[in-house]
Amino acid sequence: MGTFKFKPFAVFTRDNGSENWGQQAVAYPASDAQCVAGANNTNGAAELYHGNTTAASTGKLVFLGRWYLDGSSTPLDINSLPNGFIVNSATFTIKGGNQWIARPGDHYYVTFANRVEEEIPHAASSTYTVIISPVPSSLAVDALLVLRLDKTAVDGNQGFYNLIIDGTYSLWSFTYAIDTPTVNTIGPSNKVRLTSTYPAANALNLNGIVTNGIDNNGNYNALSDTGIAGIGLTWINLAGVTKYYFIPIRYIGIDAVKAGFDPITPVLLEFEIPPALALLIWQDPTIPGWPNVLVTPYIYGDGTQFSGWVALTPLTLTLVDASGVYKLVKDKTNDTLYNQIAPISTSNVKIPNPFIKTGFIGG
Amino acid sequence: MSDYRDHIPIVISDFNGLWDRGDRDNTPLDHFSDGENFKFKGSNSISTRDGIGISQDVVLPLTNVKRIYNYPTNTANTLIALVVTAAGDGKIYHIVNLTTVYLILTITGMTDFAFAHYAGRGYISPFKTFDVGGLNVEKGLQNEFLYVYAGDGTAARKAAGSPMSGAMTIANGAAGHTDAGLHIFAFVSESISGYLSAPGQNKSFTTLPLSSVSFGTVQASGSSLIAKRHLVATKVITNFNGDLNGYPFYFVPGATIANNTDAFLNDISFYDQDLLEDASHLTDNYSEIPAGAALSLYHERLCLSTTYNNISLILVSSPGEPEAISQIDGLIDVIPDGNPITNHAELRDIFYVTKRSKTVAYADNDDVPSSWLPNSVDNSLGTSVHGIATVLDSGSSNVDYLFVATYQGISLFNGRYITPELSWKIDNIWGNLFRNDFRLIQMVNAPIQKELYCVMTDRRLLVGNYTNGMDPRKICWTVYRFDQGVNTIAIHNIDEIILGSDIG
Repeated sequence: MGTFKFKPFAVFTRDNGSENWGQQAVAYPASDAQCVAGANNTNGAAELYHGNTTAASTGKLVFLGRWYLDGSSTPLDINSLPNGFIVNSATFTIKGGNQWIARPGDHYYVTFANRVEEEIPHAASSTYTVIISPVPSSLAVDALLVLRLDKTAVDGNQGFYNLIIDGTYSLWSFTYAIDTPTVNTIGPSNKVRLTSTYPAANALNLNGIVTNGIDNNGNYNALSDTGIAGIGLTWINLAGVTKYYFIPIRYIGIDAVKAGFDPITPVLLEFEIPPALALLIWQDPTIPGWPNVLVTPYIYGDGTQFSGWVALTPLTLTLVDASGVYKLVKDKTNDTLYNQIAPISTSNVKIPNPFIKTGFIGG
Repeated sequence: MSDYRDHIPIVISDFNGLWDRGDRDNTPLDHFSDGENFKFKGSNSISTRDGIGISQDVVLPLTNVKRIYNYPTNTANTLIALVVTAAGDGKIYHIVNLTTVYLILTITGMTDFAFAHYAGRGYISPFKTFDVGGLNVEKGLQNEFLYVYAGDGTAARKAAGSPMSGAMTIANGAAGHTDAGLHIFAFVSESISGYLSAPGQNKSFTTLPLSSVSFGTVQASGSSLIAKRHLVATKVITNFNGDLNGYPFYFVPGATIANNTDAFLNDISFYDQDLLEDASHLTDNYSEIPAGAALSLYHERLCLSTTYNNISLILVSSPGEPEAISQIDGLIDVIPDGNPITNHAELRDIFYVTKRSKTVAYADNDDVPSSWLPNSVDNSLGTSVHGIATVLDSGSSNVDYLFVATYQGISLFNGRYITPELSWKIDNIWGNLFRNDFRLIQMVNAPIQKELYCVMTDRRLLVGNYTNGMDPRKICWTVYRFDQGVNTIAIHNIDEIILGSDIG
């Protein structure tokens, strides 16, 4: 998930009615956040779109603008938008003062490029109109915004002022799901494996990953990459405060053995629920459902391809406090651990898999 | 025909543990390029490691255990452990046995502690890790002190103590003898741990030749830990300048109030020539000893270093008096270089002091510690706060060497660091440890098992088996992993390996 702002810098009008105002309008924003649209002039004083009460008078405003992602001050052109860019929600704010009067019978449609137009619900106001999405999920790709004004949209010699469009977006290629565990209850030191879910062709490109070796599970440990900054884990305590723990990419295993850094192959990410996370949660016993804690993982882009985040299905983290004083017992064939969360108990668990690898090939 | 025709089988008859240095393909056939949770049986066999069991059979076992030391009291071999609560309080417990635990000290903000034991008493110094420009530095807690624990379940108390205050009365007593003239009299309190305070209640009095001296309204100490009060006196002062603290004091033989309640001491006779035992040095002692990050014993002296205010200073006590540390000449100032003192230990009569990458030696010259001269041993190798292995219950060295965790590996130290280092075979494992977390490394040497145990920064346990010899090429290495991870280790009752786990 990321945030965007679409800042129009020009607007074109086209009508299919009988009146003669279907000319190209030239509009220049007073600032990045504004768009002033007026017919045949640059100050918006003259009419842009003279609607009337006849059904035939419909028209279309086509805004040409730039995209700014995730608070960046550097715009992206259409061709630079990330693969699989999809608008999840958008807010259209038009603050035209008393020159913009929405009518209850108006209809507003929006589309990006040549996609299907879909109607946006809106509220009527005598002074301004705020149109709030959610935008239908089928909207996708490209940067041209087309606003179709049906019937009466602008009354008299009026125009648009201060058009601001912002909202949230996500990337198809950056959609991950929890691969394992198949049950959503996990504990500290358990491993969580994530896999991209969208068709492989849109998987995040990890060609730039630099690794520092292979861990015990055959996964590469990334030192840096061109796609992922890390994984955030958040939870909310009883006071309603959102707590946060971030696992940098260097602590995340990337299944490059299978993927071979091939962006066509789904990318698998693996991380361990860090004991430090358990400590943070343990230090905040005001968590609802204690000792079970609902933790939502987020995958964060590093800004090269994507600087937003993707939220995953929440996991139930079950705290198992096995801290305490132990002793090695000669010839004992299992480990006996405390569970220090009331009711305090002990449990016998197997000794974590003993293994050896020889120097032979394949050993 | 089979591809295996004429194939000459390779027989592997020895398993000599991990080999993780250089290219993986160069792993010798009798070693493992990787492995976990196997132990060595005899000289060349392996099996699954021993399991762990709980070490406490109580209703509320200790949780979030940060540090454990073994603690031999006068009557038993016990453990002392630090746990940190969710609220951030550091609590130190004395674990006497499976079922008996005493809470002896609570200090907010303590995340680790240094420990030394002497004559059955335990000396505790709280410290924590400070971030200094990205470098983790361990030093004593600010406004905290050295504590002493009697070993009997009573609360630990602040070591040393202030002189008694208040006014006493002095009068001539029954017939007796003194060297006539002006003396200054005072009382020194003695704690239950034997600490002697500086003289207090100082008062001048002119004695008569044929009369003893009697003392009234002798103040009791406000501390319940004071066991005795001793009378001290100056010799006759001929030209008194009015300074009650400016003259040498001596213990008056036989002049002791054997409790902390009586307010009188009557009919004391003495001559100046009886005043042999000097008490003047007590005035120079710390009345409260600042907390440090390292504690050790050297020649019956307690040595404490790396206080909050001075990371290069070692406080050294008088021999046999761990709480008597002179602020004048009981100090060793290791040459400051921006790096804190991390550890110190005695080996072959020499006092070795380490920083993270430096080792310096001092020798007791039978004079005050401030006169001891430094001898640079190694300007590249040192260790961390728990980086010197303890052996059995000694708290420090083995008979003739130390195991030291340096940045280059686990090294044998016998006055110099022996190369190649003992962990030569597993150079990659050691090299991957995060240097800034070396404070987490703790080692014990179990000579009965012939094994060295080392808690690593990743909460696994590195085990070196030296059954085949204490040699970098003969020692066999393995790694133990536990579901809960381990972060501290102690050795107990000769060969019992105790492990402590925190939450994370």
